[in-house]
Amino acid sequence: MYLLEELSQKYKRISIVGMAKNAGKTTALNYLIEEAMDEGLTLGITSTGRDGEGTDVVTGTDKPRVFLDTDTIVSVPTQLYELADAGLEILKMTDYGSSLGQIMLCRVASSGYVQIAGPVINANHIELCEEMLALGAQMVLIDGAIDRKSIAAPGTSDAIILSTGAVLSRKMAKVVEETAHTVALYRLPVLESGQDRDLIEEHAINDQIILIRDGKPVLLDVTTGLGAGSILDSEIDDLTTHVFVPGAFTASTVADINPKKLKNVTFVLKDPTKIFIGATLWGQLRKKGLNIKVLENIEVAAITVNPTAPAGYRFDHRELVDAMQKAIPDIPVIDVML
Amino acid sequence: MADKTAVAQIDLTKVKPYGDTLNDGMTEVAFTLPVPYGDEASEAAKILAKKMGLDEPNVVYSKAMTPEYTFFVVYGKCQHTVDYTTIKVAKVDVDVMDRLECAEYIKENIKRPVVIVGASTGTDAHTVGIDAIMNMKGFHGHFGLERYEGIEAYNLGSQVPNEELIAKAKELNADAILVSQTVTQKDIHIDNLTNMVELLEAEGMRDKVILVCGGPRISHELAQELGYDAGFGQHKYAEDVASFVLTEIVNRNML
Amino acid sequence: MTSKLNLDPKKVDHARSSARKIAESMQEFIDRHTTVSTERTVLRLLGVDGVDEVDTPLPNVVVDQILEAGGLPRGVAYWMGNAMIQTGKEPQEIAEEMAAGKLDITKLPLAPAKEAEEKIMPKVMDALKVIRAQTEKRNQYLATIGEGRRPYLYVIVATGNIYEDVVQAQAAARQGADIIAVIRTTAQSLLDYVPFGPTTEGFGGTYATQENFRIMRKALDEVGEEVGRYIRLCNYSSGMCMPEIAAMGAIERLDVMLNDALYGILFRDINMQRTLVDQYFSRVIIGYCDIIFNSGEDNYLTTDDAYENAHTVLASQLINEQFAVLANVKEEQMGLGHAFEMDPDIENGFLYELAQAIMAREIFPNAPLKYMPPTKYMTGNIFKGNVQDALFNMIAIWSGQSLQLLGMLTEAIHTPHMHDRYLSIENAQYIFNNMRDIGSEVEFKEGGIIQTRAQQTLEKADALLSEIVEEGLFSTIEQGKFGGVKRPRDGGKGLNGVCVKDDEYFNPFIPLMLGGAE
Repeated sequence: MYLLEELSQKYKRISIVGMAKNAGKTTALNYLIEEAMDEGLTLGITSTGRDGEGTDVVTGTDKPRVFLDTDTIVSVPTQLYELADAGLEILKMTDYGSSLGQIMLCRVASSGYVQIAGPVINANHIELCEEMLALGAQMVLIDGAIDRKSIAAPGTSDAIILSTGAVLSRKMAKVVEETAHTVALYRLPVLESGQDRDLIEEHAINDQIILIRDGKPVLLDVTTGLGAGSILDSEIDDLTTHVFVPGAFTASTVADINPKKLKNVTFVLKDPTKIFIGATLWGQLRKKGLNIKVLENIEVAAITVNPTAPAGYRFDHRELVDAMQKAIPDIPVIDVML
Repeated sequence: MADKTAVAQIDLTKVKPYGDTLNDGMTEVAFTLPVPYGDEASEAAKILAKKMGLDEPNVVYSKAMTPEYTFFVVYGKCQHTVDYTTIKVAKVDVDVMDRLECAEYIKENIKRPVVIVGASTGTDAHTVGIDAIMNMKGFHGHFGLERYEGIEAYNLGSQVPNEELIAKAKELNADAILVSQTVTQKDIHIDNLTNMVELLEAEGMRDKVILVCGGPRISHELAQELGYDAGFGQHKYAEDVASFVLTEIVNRNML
Repeated sequence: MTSKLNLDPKKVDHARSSARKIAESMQEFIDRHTTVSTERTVLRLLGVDGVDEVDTPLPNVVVDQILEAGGLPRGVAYWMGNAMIQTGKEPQEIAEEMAAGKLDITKLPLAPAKEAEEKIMPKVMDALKVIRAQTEKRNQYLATIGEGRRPYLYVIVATGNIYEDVVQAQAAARQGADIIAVIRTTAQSLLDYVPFGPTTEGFGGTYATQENFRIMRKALDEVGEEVGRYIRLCNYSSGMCMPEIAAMGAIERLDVMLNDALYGILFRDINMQRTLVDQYFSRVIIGYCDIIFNSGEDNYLTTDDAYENAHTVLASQLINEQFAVLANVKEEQMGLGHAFEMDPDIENGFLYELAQAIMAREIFPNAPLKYMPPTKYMTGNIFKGNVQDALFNMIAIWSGQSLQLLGMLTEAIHTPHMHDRYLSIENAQYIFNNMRDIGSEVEFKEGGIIQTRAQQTLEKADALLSEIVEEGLFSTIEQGKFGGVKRPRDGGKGLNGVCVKDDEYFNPFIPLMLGGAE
């Protein structure tokens, strides 16, 4: 399947998001890079962590290296520049620092292995992508770090590729369940346009929590939902229909809200990356009537699976792909190890 | 000269372990193998030690742990060397200022109080790390941030949930957040540290604070992987952290 | 017994009576309240178990529905008894129907209280019979295969996978361990439910579930018979589900449970009202089935300075003791905790530690004291670590500790490897054997460092307890006098799971267990 060809027609920026460390993000990246080479597509490559080093700094296990074709635009910090085996032409020194030195934008002059790292702050990635596109990249791939999912946020990229694999659990059913949960979150219903959405968008400027009570907006003097569960609990009354939480929406915030009240309102979040609730609790809260809508959801372009875990166990390639595809029928599932 | 003696010189391009004679390579290792105690077990340990690169391995102690497992202490001469002269370690790249210089730097360049909040987060009950950096008393004669003029330091203590630390940072409009992780099991500190970054991103705060982690298993290189601005390992004190934070405030134009 | 430390018995009595007053004043509060976890415990004892399709344990399903309908002040035992009358079904079936959304237990016709109580009583007696049988089985084991000598060698397993834990635990027993604690997965204490079934994935520990308890119990009985020593099993009756886990422990024959009246408040930020009510029922259960509880005073010394604040340990031990007395726990079950946590750079630190350990022994002569190893000042230098653990073991044998949680030379690096545990057992066995009777051989210089240290610590503990009597326990905790941790009365987790009982509240287990029912 030519995944990239299809993707490049729809999206300019794609983030590769991992369900866990060692879920195969870099392998997925390499898979796309190879396809790009076959098709003569010029890529921009950056990473929220670090890519292409031989050994993982967290686990000490081997990591796949990254081979880049000529003309690829890539972000490389000063301290990793010398380690590149490819010939790199420095196009620009950016303003973004990193713990591995200032980030530079380079063009691959002669193909070879490169160690990649980009800014650690998502906001900087948005600007960096623009620059890469301006420098001639036809499409930018942002490789995520560890299991950091915030780069899935709709502002950062147009779509994501979700990498998952055996590393999540020794039980295949659990791997599938957790992945399907994340996908379900990313595809939460969007708050339909209309009065409620208008009210929220109009008042959401200062990142305050907004209640819609009896059709009117009530702005709370609270800018974070963190630790504000009990405030929400006391503010939600019979006339409250919507609660807009601008930032993170966590299990502990929900825990402080009376289940009866939880059931009677719709929580509105900016996007699904704001949700910090695990699969099991999510299911339980849904059964209790928790209702969440988002202003924007996340386009999941593809799911890649890695059937091997660094701990040494593995699933059958075909079985994992089939189980995943069965759980998530309308998104292509690709085994990157095949 | 007849009485000339050859003296071994330390060659930094070929460094190997030192026991009592330069380049003897003496190394001790201890491990358990899942085999029953006996001559075959000791032989297995010896062969393994050789594969580890230890010449003339000597199994000095072995003991049955249970019927199926045997513990070994092995000595051997390491055959490998390291070129010390080419080593590069990612380090916080900043000129370290002492306490008084930091105060001066704040006065001249930042011109307002700098707010720093810190905690040992998650389930970690250890306050040693964060106390060493933040508390008045400091550590090993290096005063903590509480004693720095121009810095308002808030140490929230141990077992602080990430959410609470962020809420506090938001409330105080903090410039920097310090996260300490001392004791960790099965890399739980990694989960905890990334959760912190993800929450900050979700809160829209990540680009508004300087985020620093520290602890015996933290390196600056790891910080990049996790999404932190800097990571401080062992033998780092308040002045290292303060110098980084203050310089970064100026670099990132957070004045 | 004459005091080797020259402690003033009047001062000890005074401190103890202050602790008594503190516990009693709290008991009035406790008696007026119940909690979601207390009520879930009643259901578990009545045989309600399993989970619904979204993995919510059935005890939670039942209690949450009753809570939402405002029926909790009456106690679930009434509602369950009434439902049995109205539906003719067993508690488990009733819970299953509630989970399936087929039954609302609070909307059934209401039988008079007395009838509902009578209906439930046979189930209550069945539960007590199961627990009694387990207690008898333990006694039978102790009478036949016997047990290790005190101090019991107490080690932990923490793989996250119960089946892997079994391998490690059996190996440890063969190496000489007397007590195996299965460390819980990180943050289980903050879950307001007990997970279900065997589990293989945990972080830094293994989920405490009833099935995991059963698996480990069976493994330890097997290895106990093999090595000719009863091997005790330890887990945590702490956190948001204190009494539920105590009930599971009673049913599955755990022998030791970490259980502290204040720990959850101070170190897990669980609401203080919730914890105090929960600890009561958990201790009633523990008392009834002869489990040894371990209190968590050692933790104060990891957060606070062990030299400066040793007296808070003694004060808390006395409070824990008195709470236990009110729950009818025997002295022989009171595994009060303390720890070897002084900065190794303190001159004469060993003498101070020794003074404190002997003081604990003299003040609680019949309690199976739990002594915790150095952790705070373990550095990663495993060679020095082994020496620190050796000093700790010397004090233990010298002061006659009972449950010795063995220090690991690799503390602060990782959870113990197989040979770490072996080295620590070897260390303890060597010292305990070599110094067996040093305690009865050596006396201390009058007015010397050791005597003075113990007397001062007692003095300060007594003063602190008097202060708490004046101010009340809640406000003492609010001010951060234990472990240097401040907790607000209405803060922390789980307050919404506390409710005031009504006049007809009914929990059949508490009076029966307190009375030692057969």
